[in-house]
Amino acid sequence: MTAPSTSCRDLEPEVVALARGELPPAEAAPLRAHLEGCSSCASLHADTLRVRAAAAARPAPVPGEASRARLRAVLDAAWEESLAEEEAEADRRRSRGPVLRLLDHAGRRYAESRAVRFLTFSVAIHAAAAVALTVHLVGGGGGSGDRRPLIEVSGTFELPPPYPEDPFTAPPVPEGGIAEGTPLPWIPDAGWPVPGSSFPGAEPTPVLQDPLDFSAAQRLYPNGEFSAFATARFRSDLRTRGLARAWGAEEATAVGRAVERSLAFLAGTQESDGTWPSGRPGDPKPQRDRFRGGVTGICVGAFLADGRTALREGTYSSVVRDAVNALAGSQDRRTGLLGAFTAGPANDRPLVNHGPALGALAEAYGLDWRFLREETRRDLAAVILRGIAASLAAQREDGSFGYAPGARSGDASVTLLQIEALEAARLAGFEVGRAALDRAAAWIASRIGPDGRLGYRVAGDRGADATLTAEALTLDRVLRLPPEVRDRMLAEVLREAAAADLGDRVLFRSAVLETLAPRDAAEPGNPAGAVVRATLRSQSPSGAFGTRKDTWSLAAGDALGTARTVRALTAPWR
Amino acid sequence: MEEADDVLLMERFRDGDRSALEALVDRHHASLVRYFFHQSRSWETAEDLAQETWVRIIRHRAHYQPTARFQTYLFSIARNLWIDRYRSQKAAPPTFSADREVGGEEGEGVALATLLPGKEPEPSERASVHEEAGRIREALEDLPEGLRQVFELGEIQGLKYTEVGSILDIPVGTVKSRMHAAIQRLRQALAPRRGGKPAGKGPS
Ligand SMILES: [Zn+2]
Repeated sequence: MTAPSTSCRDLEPEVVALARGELPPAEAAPLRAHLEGCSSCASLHADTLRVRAAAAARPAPVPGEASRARLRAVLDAAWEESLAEEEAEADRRRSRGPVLRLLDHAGRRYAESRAVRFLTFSVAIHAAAAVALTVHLVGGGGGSGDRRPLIEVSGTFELPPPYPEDPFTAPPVPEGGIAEGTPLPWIPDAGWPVPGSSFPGAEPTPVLQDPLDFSAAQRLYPNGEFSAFATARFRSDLRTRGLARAWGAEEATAVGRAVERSLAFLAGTQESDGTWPSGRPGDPKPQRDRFRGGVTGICVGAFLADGRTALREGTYSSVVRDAVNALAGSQDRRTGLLGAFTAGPANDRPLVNHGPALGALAEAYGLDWRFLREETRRDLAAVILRGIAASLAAQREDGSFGYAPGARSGDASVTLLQIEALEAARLAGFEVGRAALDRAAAWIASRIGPDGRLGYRVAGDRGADATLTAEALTLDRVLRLPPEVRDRMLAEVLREAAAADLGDRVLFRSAVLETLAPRDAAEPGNPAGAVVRATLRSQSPSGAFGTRKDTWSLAAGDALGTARTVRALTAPWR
Repeated sequence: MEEADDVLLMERFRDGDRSALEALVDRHHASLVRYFFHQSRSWETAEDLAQETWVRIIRHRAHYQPTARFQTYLFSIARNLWIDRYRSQKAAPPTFSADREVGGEEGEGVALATLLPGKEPEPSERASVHEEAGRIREALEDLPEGLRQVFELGEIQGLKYTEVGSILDIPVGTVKSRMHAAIQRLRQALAPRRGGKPAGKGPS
C-alpha cells in the first residue's frame, strides 16, 4: 500500500463521502479519476464500501408479530391519552381560568379596582439593564374578551450586559450556537454541551474568592445577583468545606454519596414527559397529577442544588432540560400560572403547583442564562415574568396567598411557597419589588403564636405539626423576622425535633436541617450531626427518602421526600 | 416521492388522522428498532425505545412542523431518547448475552440479510462479509460516542450528511470529518484482503 501523500490526506474525507454517494456529480467525476491512479485513495474508497457492507450485515432482530401487537397496544393507549389530554386542554381554554374566576366571583370588587386601574407594572430583568419587559395585567371589564390574555408581556427586551466581574469562566459556546426548534421546547434538547467539556474551568479572580463568604458576596453584589453564578455548587472544594462545617467532618462524605444516590433515584423515576408525579405508585391518576407541577419544581430544585443544570456538562443535564421544558410548557398563557398538569376538580390548588414551578424555572434560568441563545433566553424570561406577574396578581390584600387566586382565605404554606419562588426570581436577576415580599412576610409574622408555632391560617392552629414553622425558618433571610420571634420558633422546632421520631418525617426533618445549615456543627447544642445521621439512616436502598407521617399541601410521595431531602442536605453550599 | 409522502402523512396525523400514523410505523419501525438495537445490543431496549419514540410522536404531534424530511424528525427524537437512556444507564452498562442478541424473544424473526441497497454480494464474498460484520460490530463498540453516532445514523437508509448533522445538531463539515475518522478506525477491523495485503493494520 502506498503511503497517502499530503494532498491525499486532505482528500480522504471526500473519498469517504464519494463512497457514500454524498458528492454531486461535478465533484465526483474528478475524484473518481484520481482514484484510478492513486492506490491509497482507492483503497480507502474500497474499504469504506466494505465497512458499510459489513455494518449492514450485522445481525439485527426484525420485529415479529408479537412485537407488532405490543406496539399497537402501546400506541393505542398513547393515542387515547393524547385525545383525552387535548379535550382537557380545550376545556381549560373554554372554561374561565382562575384569574378570570377571580374577576367574576369572589373577589369582584377587588378585581374591578385592579382592572379599572389597568394595572401595569414593569419587571426589569437584571438591575443593570434598562426596563426591559412590561407586564400588563389586563382583562376584567364586562367579560367579552374571554380569550384575551390576562397577562401580557410586551416591550423591547434588552439583554443585560455580562457581569463585569464574573469569577468563573463559562464553557465555550459550541460552533454554530445552540440550535433552536419550535417555540417549545424552550431549551434545545440536542448536541450541547459537548461531552468532555467541563465547568468550571478557571481559577476565581481575586474579586470574589469565596461564594460561601456571604458578607463579601453581598457587599460586591448588593442585589444578590451573585447567586446566579457565584455559587459554590460548581466548586467541589467549597462544597466539601461547606458540608463539613454544617454537618460535621465525618458526615460530609456520606452526605455527598447520599445526594448522588438520591439524584440517581430521581432521574430513574422521571416520567417520559419530564415530570414527577405526586402521591405514591398505585394512587389514582388525579392524585398523581394533582401536584405534579409542584413536585416537579422541587425535583428540579434538587438537581440544581447539586449544580446539575440544564446546560452545563453533566450526567443529568437532559433530566433537567426535560423538566424545565415541561414546566415552561405548562404555563397557562392567559393566567400565567405554571405547573398545572391536570384540568378540572383535581386542579383545585393551582398556587401550590405554581410556586415551586416558578421557583425552579427562575433558579434554572439564573444558573444557566449566560449559555442560552438569545431567543431561548427571551422566551424563558417571558415565561418567568408572566409567572411572577401571576403570583403578584394572586396576592391577597392582607399580603397572603390562598390555594387559588381569589381564595377567600390565605394559607401559610402556600404563602411560603410564593415567597420562596419570588425570592428565587429575585436572586436570578428579576427585579421583584420588596413590597410584595414584605407584605407576605408581615402576614406570616402575624400567624406566629406566642408558643413560636406558625399556624396554617391563624396563629396556633394545627398544633401537632411544626413542619410549617421550620419551613418558615428556612426563609428567614427573606422574612426578616424579629430576632426574639425567630429564637422562639427555633426553640419550638428543636424541641419537637428532639421529641419526634425523625425517621419517618422526611419533610419536617429536611426543614430542620435546612434551618441548621448556616450554623457550625461544632457549636454547642447544635443537633445537626444527629439529624443528618437520622436522615442518612432513613435512605432506602433505591436512594429514595420516603415519607409516611408528614402532612403538607404537596401530597407526600417518594419523589417529593427525596428531592426535599436533597435540597436540605445541599443547603450548606447553596 | 416517498419523502413527500412521509411529511404529508405526518401532517395528516398531526391533524387527527390516526391511520396516517400506521403507515409511518409500517415504513419506519424496522429501521428504528435496528438503530436502537445497534446502540444498545439489547432486543428489549430496542423494542422499548422504538415504542417510546412513536409515543413521543403521538404526544407532540400538535407541535409538528414540516421543516425537514420525516426521517430527520424521527431520528432526532430517537437519538434524544437514546441519550437519555444512555446517560441514565451509564452506571450499569446494558448486559447482553451472545445467544440472546440474535434470537430476540418469542421467536422474533432475525434478518441476516443486508439492508444496504445495491448489488448483492457474490456468493464467494458472502462469507467474508458476515465474518467482517462481527469484527465491525466489535470495533463499533470501541468507537467514541461522537463518531459512533455519526456512523450509525449514516447507516440508516437514505440519511445524508446534512440530515445527520441536523439530527446531531452539528455542522455538516463536522459530520464529514467524523465519518472519515470513523471509517479510518473501522477499516482497521476489516479482514486481511485476499492476496495478503492488509487493509490498514488489520488483525494478524
Ligand atoms: Zn490519493
